[in-house]
Amino acid sequence: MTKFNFLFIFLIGSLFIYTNCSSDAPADPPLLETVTKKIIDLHAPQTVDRNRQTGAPGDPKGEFVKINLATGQKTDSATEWDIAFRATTILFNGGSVTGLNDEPARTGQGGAYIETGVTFSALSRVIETNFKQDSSNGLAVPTGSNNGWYNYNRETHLITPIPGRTLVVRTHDGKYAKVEILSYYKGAPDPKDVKVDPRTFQYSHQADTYTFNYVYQPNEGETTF
Amino acid sequence: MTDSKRFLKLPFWIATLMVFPTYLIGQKQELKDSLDMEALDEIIVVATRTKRAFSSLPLPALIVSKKEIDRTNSLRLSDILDEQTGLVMVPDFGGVMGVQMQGLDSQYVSILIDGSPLIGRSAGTFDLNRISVGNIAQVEIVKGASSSLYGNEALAGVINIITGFPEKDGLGGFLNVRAGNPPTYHPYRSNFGYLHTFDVNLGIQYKGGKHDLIGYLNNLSSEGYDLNPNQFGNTVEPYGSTTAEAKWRYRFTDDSFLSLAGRYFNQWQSLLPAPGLDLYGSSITDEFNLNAKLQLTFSSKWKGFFDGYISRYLFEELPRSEGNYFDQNITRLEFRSNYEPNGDSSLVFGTGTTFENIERDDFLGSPSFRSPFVFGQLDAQPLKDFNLILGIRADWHNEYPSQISPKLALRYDFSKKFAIRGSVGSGYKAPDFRQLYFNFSNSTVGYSVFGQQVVAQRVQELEEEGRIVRKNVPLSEFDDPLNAESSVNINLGFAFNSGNLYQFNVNVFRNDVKNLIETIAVARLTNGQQVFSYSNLESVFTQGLEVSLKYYLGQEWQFNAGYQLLYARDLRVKDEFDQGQVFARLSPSQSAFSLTSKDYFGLYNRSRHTANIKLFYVHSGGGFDANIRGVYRSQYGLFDTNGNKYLDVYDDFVEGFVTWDISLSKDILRFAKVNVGVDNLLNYTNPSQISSLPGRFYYLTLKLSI
Repeated sequence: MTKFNFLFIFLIGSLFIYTNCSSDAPADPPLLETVTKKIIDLHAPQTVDRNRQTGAPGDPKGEFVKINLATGQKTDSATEWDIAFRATTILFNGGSVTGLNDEPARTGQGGAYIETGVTFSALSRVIETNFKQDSSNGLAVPTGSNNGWYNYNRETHLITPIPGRTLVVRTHDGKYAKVEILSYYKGAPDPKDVKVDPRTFQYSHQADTYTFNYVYQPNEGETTF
Repeated sequence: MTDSKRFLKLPFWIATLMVFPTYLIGQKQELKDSLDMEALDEIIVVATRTKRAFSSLPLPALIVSKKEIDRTNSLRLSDILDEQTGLVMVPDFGGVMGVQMQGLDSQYVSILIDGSPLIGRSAGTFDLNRISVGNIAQVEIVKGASSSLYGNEALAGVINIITGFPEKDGLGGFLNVRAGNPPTYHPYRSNFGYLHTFDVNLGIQYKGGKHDLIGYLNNLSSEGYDLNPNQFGNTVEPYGSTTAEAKWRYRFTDDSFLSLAGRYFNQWQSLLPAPGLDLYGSSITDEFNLNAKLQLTFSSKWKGFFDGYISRYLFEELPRSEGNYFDQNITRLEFRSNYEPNGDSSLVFGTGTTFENIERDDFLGSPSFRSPFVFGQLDAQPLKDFNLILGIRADWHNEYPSQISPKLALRYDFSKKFAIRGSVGSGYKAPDFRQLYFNFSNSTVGYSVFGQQVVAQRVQELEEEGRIVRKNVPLSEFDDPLNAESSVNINLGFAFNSGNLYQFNVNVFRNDVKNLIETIAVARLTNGQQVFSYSNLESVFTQGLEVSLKYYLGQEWQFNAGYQLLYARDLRVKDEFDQGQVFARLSPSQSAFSLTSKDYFGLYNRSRHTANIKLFYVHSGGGFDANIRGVYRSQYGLFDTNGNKYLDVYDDFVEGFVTWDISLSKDILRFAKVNVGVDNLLNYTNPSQISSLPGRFYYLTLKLSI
């Protein structure tokens, strides 16, 4: 609250100073503070139809769940979304059609890359040349165990976010964010508490359910967190 | 024809390739049933392929005698090996039980029966539950790379099961009947009334004139057990097995013979694939071995051995569906000659060929292997108290590069009581059929696994079908054949032997294994899943220390203790930890932090500490014996639980545990003995992590013999 008040007064004050010193060179507009948020239990399921004869799975289907990182909310907007989830697949609002079923059209300048070898909090700078975009040649953040953000354990059948991997995201309007996925199961349970019946693939905690931390840099062109 | 007649007339001076109980028992009869001196006269064959005094061997080895098998009332080979220092029983999928030796998996341990390899492995693991111990004369174990004598698979070591021949003239036989019942049993279907496990061993033998005959039959049936009554099905479904063996030997002279041995094994287990499905079935294993041996003594110094061996292993699940049929055949012909110029040195030369083929669901075609081999070994005493063994073997193969496996072992006896010994050797394991020819697509999840020989063709086909999104690896990488996994093994130790008071052994070992074959993701499919194949990737090492003590307390008590310290690590992973590239999080609500190499625990399923302790009592008047045995395994990790792929100290571990077994036996008649025992006395179970460990288990055995 006090921070907000201070910011408010500061903004009003700077406006005042600006309007009163219009003849001087304009001072840099003050930077907005980075936004740190945690999204809890975002459910993003997919459906897979099976061949009736062979039981072979078809390509996955279903709506992607889209998030606007500036607001930290789910959105149905066709344009003002930054990151979209469906099961283990993550898309960004930039690039071109990849060929997935039901994928949203990309209208923005979004992209992403995976930073390894540094903790989430220590990741301080965006490297703009590292960004990749979704396309028919592959996703910016690939799926598959150990390719992107998660590992799949063939013994326990669990998806676990790989610790130390951070998604660096460019939003639809060219701002930056960093995302650390924490859990793929409802309630972010300790992995050892998630039980799977290997014969029915029933999970004790609902899968396809994301919990993640992110830091959003609201200032245009600003590449640090 | 004339040659063979001449052979028949040739004199002899030494017994056969196999260790005959005749020899051992003959030595021990004066000692009646007392415990002491047991180990002093033991003979080991597997270490040098000659009859070799165990006590002077320059290699780390172990003998499990028939007496120990009898006294501990073991049923299967896994029971008795579990109690041996440095051997760890590791359960694998499908309830199979493999042995880990010097920190290396079951797939690197060669299992032999009378010197010929047993086949039929489940994802590399040889199931030691398949071997009934009722007619085993001796089990020999050599630790460390032994490919210089045995070629493929003998990378971590060799276990040789010796089935004996009759020791006394005339007709003899035994019948052992055992019944047991653990309280944790949760029946859902009863096949055997109230008895939980039922084991029958029947043996007959005959020795007369020039003929030796042995017949053996074992039947084991069990209701299985259930550690998680709330979950669907039993932890172990009902199962049963039958082993039948017959052996005939014709002695031309006391030292030249022809023998034929046949073995049949059958095992079934109930299958319950999923709830709601009306698919009761069973898995069935059938195994056949036929072993023909001709031993000819040419002179007092020269002997020749001709071995022919055929084995078939069949596995199927009924009702039959996709991916559960497996039919492996092996034929091996070998000729060997031993030259023994004097009592303490020998020269061995051998050559032969192994043919192998397999038919299996999910294989492209029915591949076959052909691998000729030649080996030689010198076992000499260049100086008094100094023993040297030098061996080398070459294996050729039609599918992968040929292998040269040398070995050098030295021993120096400072005194009758104290000796040091060391050995350096190489071992290898060939790529198996699965790694070369697998052609498998999982219909539930949608991924595919292709063997190295198959992958280029199959990926191309998938590409033409438009199912490949992207290739991670150029297909040209699979043009070169897979290399065999190979190792360099070093052992260094000493033996302290105070005759009939105690024996103390220490061994330090190291294995550097390279070219480990691992799965790699080759391409991504349109359904989001991957195509996997195999490639030579990782290098690991295992190192450790092994200590064993055997202590005799008078005529009636014997105390054994053993300990192994083990470090087993992947070198590339260790580098990743060193560079701070591996992270963990304490819980899913916290951010990840960087780990150091101190946090790297090592390979999965390895306990840092394992130990055993055994106390045997044999009443000096005979007629009664008892023992208590404890086996300890410190914590180990089954798989990564925190998402970083590696086993670090922040993962969930299977906690360390001890199991205690006791057994008491009493003679009731001249030909009958009653035995009661309890396995897992303290009822230790870990239902979610150790499915192979049922609770406390009581049994009663009646043993008759003539």
